[in-house]
Amino acid sequence: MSVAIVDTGVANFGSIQNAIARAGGTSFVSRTSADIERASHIVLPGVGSFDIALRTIDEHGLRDLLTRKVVQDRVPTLGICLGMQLFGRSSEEGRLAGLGWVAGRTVKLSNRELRVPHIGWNAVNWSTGDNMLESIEPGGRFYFVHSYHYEPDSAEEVIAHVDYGGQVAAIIRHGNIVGTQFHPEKSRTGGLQLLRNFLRMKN
Amino acid sequence: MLEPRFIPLLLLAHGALVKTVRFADSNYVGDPINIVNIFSTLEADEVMVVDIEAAVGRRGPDYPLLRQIASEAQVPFGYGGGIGTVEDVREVLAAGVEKVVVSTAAVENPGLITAAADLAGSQAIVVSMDVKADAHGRPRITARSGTVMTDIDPIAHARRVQELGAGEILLMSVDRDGTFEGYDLDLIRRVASAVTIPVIACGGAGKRSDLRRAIVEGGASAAAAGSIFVYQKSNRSVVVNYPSQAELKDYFVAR
Repeated sequence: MSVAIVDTGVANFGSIQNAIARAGGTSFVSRTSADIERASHIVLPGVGSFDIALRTIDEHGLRDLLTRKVVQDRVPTLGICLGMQLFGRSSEEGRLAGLGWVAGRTVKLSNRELRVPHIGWNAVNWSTGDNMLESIEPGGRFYFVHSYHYEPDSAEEVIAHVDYGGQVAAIIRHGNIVGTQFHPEKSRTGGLQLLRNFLRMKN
Repeated sequence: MLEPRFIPLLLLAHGALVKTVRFADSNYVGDPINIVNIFSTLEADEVMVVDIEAAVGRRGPDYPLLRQIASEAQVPFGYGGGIGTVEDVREVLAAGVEKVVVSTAAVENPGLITAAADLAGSQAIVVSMDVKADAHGRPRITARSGTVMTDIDPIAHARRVQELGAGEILLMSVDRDGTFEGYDLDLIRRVASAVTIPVIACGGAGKRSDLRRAIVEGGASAAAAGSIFVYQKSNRSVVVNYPSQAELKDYFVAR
């Protein structure tokens, strides 16, 4: 198994690599087609901004290859925070077209009573099971740090949510594609378990 | 519910962790890699490390050391000190950092805040406001780890850095730093009500109940502290400590 962490220009690559290692995987930061071709799993990291991430993927000439690997070959793919927000059509944070793998869009968190960005530990809840949630306690706390959030067109693709001035998607699932608004790499045992569940996915 | 955060804020000087009083009188605390590992094991909500010599010595971050420290941080990790360019922001994040803390540059080169937020997103950019009373007793922003006094009012600065793209403010009272006298609650209240981004209070916590007051009475989203997390008490003997998750819950539910 080898996890390709896609170079999105800016990201906390070190944190993700450390966490994947603790979850029992091996990972590398990938910039080339060869890197993506040999990956058993793909991670789109968080921390960064929408246009810069997409521009970097485009500059490395990886958009079409990634789309083929993720959509046609169904390689298990995890988007973390911004990484998930890249899945859809568009984002209020940027102007470029999203990757278009999951129907949806990214919008700004807006609530007059709550501070934005949403930063800190918040409870993640769900009602129906999913193998990505295996051995994780509902109501457990995960670490969020974001100003934008992802809204899939199909509400059924939200498999866990967080309450921040209303329900916000915390985990989305579209077949082999998983997205988390929180940072599993920084979310203690729950986050580590989610990474283990992801590493167990096979295409 | 979003829970308030309690953040050990650790000061780095020449590769060692130190603790200061009013940004001076550095006392050796320990090895940064080891101590960040301990706070990580204790499940601190976040950990922040600020290099207090970098800006004074006009140096950039010590990347090899930063990467080593970051590899021990299994919890959300913020780093500040010597960040002068967007390239620094990129490299600091890549080392395994979630939030970059900028202080001096917010005063001397405010455009960096916007450039950094455009690159990394506002949520990754924390502006540290190091506030000190001037000769007339008015709170003013300082730069270069408190060594350069400016005439900038903290409320105006807070609004400005939010406008420029900062995602969070680390509000540091230089006058209270290391004194165990409690937070400057009035300053925290004024800054927290002037902005809509989260404010981290810092400087003066002398007991764990002070942390709660910064949140409940000051309106801060997080309370950071140095001394109470690294010293046993005000006699300055080093005992790294952090409340358990159960104790933290107790602070906010039981009282």
